[in-house]
Amino acid sequence: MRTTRRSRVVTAALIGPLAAFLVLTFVCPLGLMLWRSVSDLDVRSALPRTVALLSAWNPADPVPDAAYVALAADLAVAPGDAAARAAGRLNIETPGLRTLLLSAANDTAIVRADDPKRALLDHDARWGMSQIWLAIRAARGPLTARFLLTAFDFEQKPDGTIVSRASDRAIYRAIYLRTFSVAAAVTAVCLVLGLPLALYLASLRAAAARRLLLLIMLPLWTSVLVRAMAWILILDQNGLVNAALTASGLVSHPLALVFNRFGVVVTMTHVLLPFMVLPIYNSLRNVPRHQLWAAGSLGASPLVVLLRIYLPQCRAGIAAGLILVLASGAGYYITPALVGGGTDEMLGSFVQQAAIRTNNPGLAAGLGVVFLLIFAIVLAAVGAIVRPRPFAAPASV
Amino acid sequence: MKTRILVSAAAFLTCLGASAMARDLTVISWGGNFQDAQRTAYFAPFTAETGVKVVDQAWDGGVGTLRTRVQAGGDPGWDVVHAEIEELQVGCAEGLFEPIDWSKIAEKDKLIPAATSSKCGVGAITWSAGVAYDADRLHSAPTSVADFFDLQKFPGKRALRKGPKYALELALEGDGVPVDKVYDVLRTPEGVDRAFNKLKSIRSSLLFFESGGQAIQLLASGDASMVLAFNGRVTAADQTDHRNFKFIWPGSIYAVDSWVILRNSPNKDAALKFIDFASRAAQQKILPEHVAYGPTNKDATAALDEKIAQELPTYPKNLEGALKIDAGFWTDNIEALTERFNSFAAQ
Repeated sequence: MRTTRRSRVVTAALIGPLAAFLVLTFVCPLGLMLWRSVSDLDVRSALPRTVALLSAWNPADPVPDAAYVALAADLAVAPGDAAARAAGRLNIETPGLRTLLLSAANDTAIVRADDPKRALLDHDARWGMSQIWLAIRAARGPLTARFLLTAFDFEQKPDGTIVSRASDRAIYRAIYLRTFSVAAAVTAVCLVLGLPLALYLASLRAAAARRLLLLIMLPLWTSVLVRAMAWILILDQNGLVNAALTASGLVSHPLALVFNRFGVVVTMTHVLLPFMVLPIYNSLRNVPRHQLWAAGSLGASPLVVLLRIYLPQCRAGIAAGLILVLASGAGYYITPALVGGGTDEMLGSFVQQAAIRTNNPGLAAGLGVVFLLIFAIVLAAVGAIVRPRPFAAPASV
Repeated sequence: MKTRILVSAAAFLTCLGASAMARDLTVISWGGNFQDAQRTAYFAPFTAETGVKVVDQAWDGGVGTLRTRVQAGGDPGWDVVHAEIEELQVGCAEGLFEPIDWSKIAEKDKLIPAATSSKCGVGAITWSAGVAYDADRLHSAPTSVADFFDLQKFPGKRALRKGPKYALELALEGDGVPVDKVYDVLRTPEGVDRAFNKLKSIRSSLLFFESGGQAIQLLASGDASMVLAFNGRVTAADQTDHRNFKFIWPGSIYAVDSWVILRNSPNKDAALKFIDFASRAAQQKILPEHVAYGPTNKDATAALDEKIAQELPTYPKNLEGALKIDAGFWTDNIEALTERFNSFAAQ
């Protein structure tokens, strides 16, 4: 059926608002995150003359006097917010530089001095040290590889070579691995628990299935924090599980079930199980019943019916369930932080710390970009393995 | 059909109108039994006296949280915040707070010097962070910070706040550095390495918490046998929950917290009135009855009962061997050391 021009326009108008919404809330933030992971504009916008001068400066030479003049001129006109942001950016790599820069910015004697170099050196002798000026030069921007390198546990030495970070600071590669391990463990447990549940659910009649579906979706109605706290109480040293185990004599003293990875996996499974059950149930419902009966009547045992006819037709549902649970689980960080006792933290915690606590949005964006890349690869792999395959047409009988 | 349209339009407009109304004065503090005590001493009496409604919420610290709110522009959402000393100094240097109009603080001259030294905040309490334990569970009582790091003699897990502050000081004290030399040692790279090595020695038994209330919870449930806790919460737990928690005073770290007003707050005047109210001796002497933190108003301290005064960080006996926090050190180093601490905690 040929679509007329009019119907095409109508279609475009109907999906236009949705497309605009997706662009605004999905594509734009992603683009902003990518931009934030490579941009380094805080110091450049607050101290433009200084940055321009230092870009032309060869670090091997002594600090030029013109740099002091440029700095004083910049501090004279820099708005308070911009100076604060630049000071905060510099303090990340050079502790102490924040108070140094901001106290200089607030010192009117420097700003109006005839000899800025003398005034700055009188204010604080550290202005004579080349490290300070090298630090400002290193943050000149507008683009930097620093955040992406850090997200991969690399760093760039002053001479330009890229080396791995010292082992006590190189944590991010281990964090990616840990995040995916926990998410994979949760996905596996959800699959093992969720598949039989979905099979049972699909075998019920509509009314009973609706009731059971409601019960399965119940965890989704409670707050995430309430669920985490409830599990802490249940799995605690004196909680329900340990009390039952010690009272029945199965164990001599309480087991450590919470504030470790076991507790994290249990809690996240409880939260993510509905996301596994519902897609599988949905695709199981779509398998025509008469195929199963026909297979049975042709002599297939129930196990053969399950493995060769029933399950293969819901690859799409299983794939959807796996991807949903893996994606959600990899993004969780509040529940693992609470239930894991702060020891087994996932990537989200580090992104939150970088973005909000330690004032390093560039690193937060860098971590996000790297995680996005890794996850896209994992997703493609899962999709390729579990992709629904078309059934070959049977040879003519 | 017409009535349906009219009703939904009216509902929609009411919602718009409601969101345009000014929000109530929002005061942010540290939650748990500490904030309950503040509600009794400050928030409820303030509303009773002035009629201004106070909405109180909790936070877990970090100047970055305040920075995000103020630098986003417009209404920061919070008005008065109870901030730690280096949050006050860093935030003040970066222009995150409204300058305090000291002429509006009636009892300014009665406040201790540490409470009036900044132009961005008014000192609220003196508190102490140190090692706490459950005397009912530990048969031999620990007596010093070094015992926190002795897993042989005092088995069980330890809990620290997630962050380098107090943890590094405790680590050096536990390693034998005398209290008056702790910050000198910490300012050297070798000193920082020494502190982290000491923490690494107990890493396998270490848990981390974010909020002060969680420390008490871990102690109460027996998940940790010794925790870093804030002295006021320890005594409050003993009083209200009839616990037998003890706090080790020698080696504890004390500091003054301040009330600050976030920049661009729409309730600036009410916020200042609240801070003035909370600085009065009459109100400040109610707080130690519920949570053992020292007032900053000298008249309030003088008016306290001896039994209550004994539990305060400012009591002379409790100050022996205690360490005053060095705000200048943390203002410079909080970011670098937080990054290093996170790396340590992640391994």
